[in-house]
Amino acid sequence: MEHIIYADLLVVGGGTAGTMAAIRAKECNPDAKVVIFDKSDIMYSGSIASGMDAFNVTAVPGFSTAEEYLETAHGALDGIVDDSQCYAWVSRTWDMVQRMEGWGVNFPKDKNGDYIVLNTAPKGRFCLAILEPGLKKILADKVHENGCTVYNRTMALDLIRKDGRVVGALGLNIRTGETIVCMAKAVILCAGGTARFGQTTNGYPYGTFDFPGNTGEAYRMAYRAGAKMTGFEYTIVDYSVKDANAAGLHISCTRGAYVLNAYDERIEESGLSICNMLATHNTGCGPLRVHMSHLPEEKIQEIEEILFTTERPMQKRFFEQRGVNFRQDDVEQWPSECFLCGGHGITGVMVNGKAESSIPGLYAAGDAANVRGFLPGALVMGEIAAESATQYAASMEQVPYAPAMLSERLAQIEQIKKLRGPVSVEEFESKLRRTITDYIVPPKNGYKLNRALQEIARFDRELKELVGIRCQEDLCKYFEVESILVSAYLSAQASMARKESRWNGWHYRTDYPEQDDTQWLKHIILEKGDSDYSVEITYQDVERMV
Amino acid sequence: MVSNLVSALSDNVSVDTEKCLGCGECVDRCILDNLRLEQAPCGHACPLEINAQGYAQLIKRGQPEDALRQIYKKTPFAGLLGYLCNHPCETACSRNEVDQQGVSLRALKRYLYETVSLAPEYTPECTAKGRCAIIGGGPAGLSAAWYLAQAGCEVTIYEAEEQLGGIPAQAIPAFRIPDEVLRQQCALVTDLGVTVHTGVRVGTDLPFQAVLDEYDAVFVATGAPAARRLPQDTGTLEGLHYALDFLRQAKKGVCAGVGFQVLVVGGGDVAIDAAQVAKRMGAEEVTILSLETLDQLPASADTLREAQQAGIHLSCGWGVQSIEAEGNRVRGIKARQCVQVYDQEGRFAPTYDDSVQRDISADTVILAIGQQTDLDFLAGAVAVEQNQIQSDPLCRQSNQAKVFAGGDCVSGPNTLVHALADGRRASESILRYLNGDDVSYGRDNSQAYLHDFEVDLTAGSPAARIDTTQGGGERTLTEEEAQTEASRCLGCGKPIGYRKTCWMCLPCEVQCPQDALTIKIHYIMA
Repeated sequence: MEHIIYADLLVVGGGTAGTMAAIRAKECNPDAKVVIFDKSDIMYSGSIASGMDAFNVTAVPGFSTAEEYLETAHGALDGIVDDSQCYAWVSRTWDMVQRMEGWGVNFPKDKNGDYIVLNTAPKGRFCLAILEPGLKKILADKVHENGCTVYNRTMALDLIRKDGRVVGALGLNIRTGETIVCMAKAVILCAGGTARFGQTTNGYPYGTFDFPGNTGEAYRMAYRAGAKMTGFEYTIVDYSVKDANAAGLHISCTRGAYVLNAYDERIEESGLSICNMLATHNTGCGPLRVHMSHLPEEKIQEIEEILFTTERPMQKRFFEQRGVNFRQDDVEQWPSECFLCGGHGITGVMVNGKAESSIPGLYAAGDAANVRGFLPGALVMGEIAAESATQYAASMEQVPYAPAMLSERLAQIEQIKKLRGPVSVEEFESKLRRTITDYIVPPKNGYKLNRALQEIARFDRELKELVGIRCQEDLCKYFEVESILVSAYLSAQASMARKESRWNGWHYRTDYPEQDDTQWLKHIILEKGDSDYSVEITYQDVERMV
Repeated sequence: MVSNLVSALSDNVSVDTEKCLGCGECVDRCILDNLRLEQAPCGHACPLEINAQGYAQLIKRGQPEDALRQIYKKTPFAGLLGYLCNHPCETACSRNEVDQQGVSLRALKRYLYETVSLAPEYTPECTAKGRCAIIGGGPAGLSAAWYLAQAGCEVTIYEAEEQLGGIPAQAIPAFRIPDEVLRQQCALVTDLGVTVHTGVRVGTDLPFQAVLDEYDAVFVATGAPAARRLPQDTGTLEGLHYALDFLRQAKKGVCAGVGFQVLVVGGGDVAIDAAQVAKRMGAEEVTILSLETLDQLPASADTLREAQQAGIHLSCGWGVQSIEAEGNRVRGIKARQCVQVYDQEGRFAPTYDDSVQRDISADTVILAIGQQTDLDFLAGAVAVEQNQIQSDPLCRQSNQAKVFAGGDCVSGPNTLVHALADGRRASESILRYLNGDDVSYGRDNSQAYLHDFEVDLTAGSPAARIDTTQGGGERTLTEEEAQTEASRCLGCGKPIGYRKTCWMCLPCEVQCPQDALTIKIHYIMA
């Protein structure tokens, strides 16, 4: 092992949460050595490569408070949320807006010069408009300005544990194949969720909603290190633009568009929940279509401007290539691929309001953590994680690297490099994701979930026996597939454990079709047993603030 | 590309080759590692990896400032290179396959240096605090000093001679590189507040160990300043010179002069320079005697052609048997035929046929048979093998963690661009070292580049290469000529969607300086 470095804090993943965590860590302690491992290049990496159009949850003074949001969160998550965790970040979202504006991020104002706060929740207004395609670059520039050390093209493979703490991580350079160890007093996991989980419906394996480079490394690493994981039964399927996996229905409906089914019947507002739309679609009355041709030209232009400039600028080309013009044509919607994500859901490393995981020295933020916070949640939890980790690191000694910490894993990596089976990693991934779609994606039932577990056991064997590694790119994809497989296992296990249905069809079990708050108003927690594929399941009541 | 499920998809990355510069910015930014750069052979051949395609294309498009910026991305020393580089880029240039004449990339560099008033722009990727000593103020040392100073380090250069600049400043004749250019190029470094001690020889004036003790990092760049001695030279004869000393004295204006019949022994650029200087000093007859045959000559084709145009004779395939003297004065040599210069392994190991001899009379003999390093000053503190400091090629780190080495003191006599590249490479290593980061991790970025691809040989203009020789030297291209010459560039390099993992997020388009990229929606999706 040649490459070993020492840091005060290691941030795994340089996306939204990770860059913010690194920046904040340097603010807390300018002398700290803060290292970021990022699988790609932090200038644009992660899910906000082209910016964002909304700070989905913000407690905007004059519009809403963090306390009010708790009620919304209970509704949105059917109660599966801990109040103090939620409050901890929502109460800081307005400060985050001020910070972002100070950095030049554009929050558009209306004619009166006020912030634009949209009505997306049943009670209270929390959705703040932001129009900043260059958001990621702003964050990346701040990372460099603050003197953080960035290791780009470095994919984290494993956390290192000693005496019950996390003390560092092993990384792999995706271009050179070199391994590197970073020993750190604390590690902040910000490597996203599992975007490449279920199969896409458009046939293109990378056509996912979240950044397709998020393949569950954070989940696998934390789980293997023994952290409590939760929310893996929250398997998200969206109903969005067919084949493009892009949002847009809400943006257009709030401006007068309406939704038709296959019989040209208009769908009422109440029918526009994702659950209901999926149900309509799946009973053959779809696809649903967003109809805009009745709208005045200026409304259509407004819609186009929002959709085409920020977050997903490829949408414009998509519609052009497809020959769809909002003035004449409807926009078909379709179920999206299934994915696991903390930011949109509740899947991830279980953290409290201080971003602490169940293991000392390990923190998590962004989609990797069980914090349904979208963009603002990722940023604020990144800040909070940095503060907590800095405080913790101040009292910790640096643990020196000892070869015994990684000798087994490094030997395993050498074995993996020598695999010469007939199946390419892409073929394997494709079959794995198809299996996830067949057996884990809702609607679920006990039979399918059991089959999923059987297939996963088989995949675990075949990954070592049948796959061939022919080049450096294959090696990296191998570890991504390892992560997808662990994510599938955790998802199947959690789905089996929750014997009820919840979350508007996302965890929908036909054998337990009703929501049962008397028994299941709790978190399902997964912890690694003796091996990766022997999980221990526990339960924890949801916490409520008085 | 090893084929897989995804690689068979159509490529959704569309490149406008009229706009693309082959700069690779998109490849660096791609967050799914999809893009690779089909790298033009010029950039690939350059030790500094200067994007010559980029600056040629920008000159062609009438954007000389942006062209110079392409050079500044990789080095600030456009002047040194524009005048002196041995241009491996031109040799590798695809244009050679069209009309046997590469694009005149060095002349284009010189054109930019002379006509665009733009100081080097550079934003260091990382900064570091530390005290760095650089031993040797030649190209390698200057290059390292520049980058380290830019990154915030406190830099001190120890230079044994009275001025900075190394061989270019001391020995290369003024007709090849004007004093003003040297002054400007050295000023790039001194203007950054770098401390310079000239006339200070480490080893003699202060021990190497003292430097090691006082500084946080040391870069050794002492070059190959010593002349290789001819075994047949037993003493000091009048009229017998070693080329580098001769050139140094000539440049300082303290040379005693030459006679009428000058014989230069050697086949490299130093020999040619010595011959040219002798000719300009008034020698009637100047002959170069080389072991190598014409096609083996290490001297560059340009300098050889200039020498022949100046009336300098060339006699190939001969070595020195003995030096003939009359009293204390040289009067010629006895030459013997050289049978072979290099052995099976390509090492310099000449063999002779002593039975074939000839007498050559000369009143001045200048020996240009090679230079060597002078490493006694290290006093064993750093590993040296065969008179070369051992330093790894990727990081230029020696066997002592805080000591780095580059340029001719590592490789033996080599080119200017190679020295500048070593200086830059070592500076990055030193910054990482000072910051406690791993020195070598991730330094090899060759995986981002592809070199085996087809080039459209019809892409450039049909113009012939412009000849810039003038009065035994070279002139600077005019603006019109530069654009004409630049238009001969075929624009070989461009990005491709290699892995077919494109997510259509579009930062590659946003970052492309020429708006040359268009990402389409994958056929399978749209």
